[in-house]
Amino acid sequence: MSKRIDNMTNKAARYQQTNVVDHLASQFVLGTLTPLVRLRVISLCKHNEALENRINFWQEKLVVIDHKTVKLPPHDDSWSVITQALGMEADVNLETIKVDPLQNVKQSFLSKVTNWWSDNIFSSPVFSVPTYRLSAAFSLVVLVMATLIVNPFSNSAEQLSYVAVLTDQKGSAHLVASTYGDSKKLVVNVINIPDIDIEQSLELWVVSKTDAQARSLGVIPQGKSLIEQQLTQAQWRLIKDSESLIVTMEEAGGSPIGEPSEMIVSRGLCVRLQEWDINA
Amino acid sequence: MDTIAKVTVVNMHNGLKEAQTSMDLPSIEKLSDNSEDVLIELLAQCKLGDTRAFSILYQKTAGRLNGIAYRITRQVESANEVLQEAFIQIWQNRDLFEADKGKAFTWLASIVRYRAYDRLRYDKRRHQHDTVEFNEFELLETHLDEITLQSESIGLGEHSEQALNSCLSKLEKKQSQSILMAYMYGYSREDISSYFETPVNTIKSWIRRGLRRLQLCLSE
Repeated sequence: MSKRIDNMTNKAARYQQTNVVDHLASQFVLGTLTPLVRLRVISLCKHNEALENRINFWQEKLVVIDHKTVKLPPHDDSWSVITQALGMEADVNLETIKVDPLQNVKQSFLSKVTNWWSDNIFSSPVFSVPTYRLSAAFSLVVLVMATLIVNPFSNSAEQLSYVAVLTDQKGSAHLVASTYGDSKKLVVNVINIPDIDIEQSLELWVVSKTDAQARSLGVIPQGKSLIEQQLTQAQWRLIKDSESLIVTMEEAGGSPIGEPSEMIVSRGLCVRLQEWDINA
Repeated sequence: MDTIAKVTVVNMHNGLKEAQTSMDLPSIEKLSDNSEDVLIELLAQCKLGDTRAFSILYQKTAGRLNGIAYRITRQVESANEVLQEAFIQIWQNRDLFEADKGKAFTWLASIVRYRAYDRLRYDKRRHQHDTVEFNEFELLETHLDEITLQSESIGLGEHSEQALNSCLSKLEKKQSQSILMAYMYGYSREDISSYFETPVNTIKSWIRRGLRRLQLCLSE
C-alpha cells in the first residue's frame, strides 16, 4: 500500500518538474500528444497551475498564426444547429436559413461512430441500401443469439425495452446492453471485450438522437461478465432518446472531461424491441 | 471600451425587478471590430446566460474560427461541423473562461483548434479504410509551400507577430517547418516523419529542440 502511495507521489512530483511541464504543455498546444496523454494533461491542469500557465503561454504565443488565418464564412444553417442543440432556438435569431436544424450536429458526432462502423462492415457495393437499416438488422441477428444464449434475464417476465449489440470494427460482438422498462435496469452482458492495462478503463456512453451528444452510463468494471445497474430517471430518459451506445477507451476511472475519447472500441445501435416485434 | 455603454437592465421576468449590470448589446453589435475588450464583454455576458451576447459573439468570430477549422481539416463540411461543436462547447464551458489567464480570442481559437485536430485524426483514420486513395502527400506539398511563406512573413507589424516571426527564423528550417506543420495543419509526428522520410524519433527530437529554443526566444 505504502509502495503504491509512493508511486503516486513520485508520479505527481514528476509532473511538477519544469522540463516535464514544458514538454507536455508545448506538445499539447501543438496537438502532437496521443489522445490518452492529452486527456491526462487536461486532467492534470485542474491541479497543476504551472502546467496550465505553460499551456496558456504557448497558446498566447502561437495564436498569432490563428489571427492571420483567412476567414471562411460558416454555413447559413450552422447557427440554427448550435442553438437547437443548446435548446435556445426560441430566444436567439440570427436570421439564418431554416433547414433541418439537427442535420449537421447529427452528422458531426454520429458520423464519427456511424461511418467508423459502416465504412468497415458495409464497405462492399452489395450494401448499397441504407446502412442504418442493415446495421440494425445485423444487430438484431446477433441480439437474438446473444440474448438467448447469454442473457440470464431472457426468461424474465419483465419486458425488455431497448437493446444494443456493441461490436468492434470487424463486427465481432463485444457486449450486449439491455434495458428493462419496468425496473429501469441496465444489464450488460460482456461477451468479448479487449484487454486493457491498469491505467485504462472502458466507459459506456449513450449517444442521443436529439442532440447527438454522448453521455456516460459509467465505467465497465473489469473481470465481470454480467453487469447490472439501476438507472436513474435521467439515465432512463437518455436511453429512451438513444441513437446508439458506444464504448470508449479512457484513462483509469473514466473520462476526466465528461466526454468520450476518440478511441471508440465498440458501438451498437439501440433498438426498441417492441418496434422490432411489430416490424418483424 | 468607451463605446460600450453600461446600462442597467431591469428584468421584469416573473414580475420581479432584478437589476443587473449589462452592456448595451445593440451598440456592441454595431461595432465593426472584434477587439479583445469586446470579446471579453461578450463572454462575460454569456456567463450570465445572455444568449443574445452569444449570438453576437458568434457573428463576430465565426468566420475567423471557421477559417481555422478549415485550415486544419481542409474540408468545408468538417470545418463547419467543428465550428458547430466548438460553439456548443464554448457555451457549455463559458464559466471556465478567465480573462486574467488568457485572451478571449485565444480561448475561443484553442477550442476550435483542438476539436479540429481530433476531427482530422478521425477523418484520416477513415480515409485509411477508403478504397479511393487519399493523396496526403499532395496536401503536404501544398501546406509546406504555405508554411514556408508563413514562416518567412508572419510579421506584419505587431510586436507579438514580429517576435514569433523572429524566433521561428532562428530555428533550423526543419524544426520550424515541423512545428508549423503540426500547429497549422494538425500533422502528426508520423505524418511529418513520412514527409521528411526521417524516423519519428528524429522528428520528435526536431520538434522538442525547436520548441525549447522557441520558448527561450519568446520569453526574452
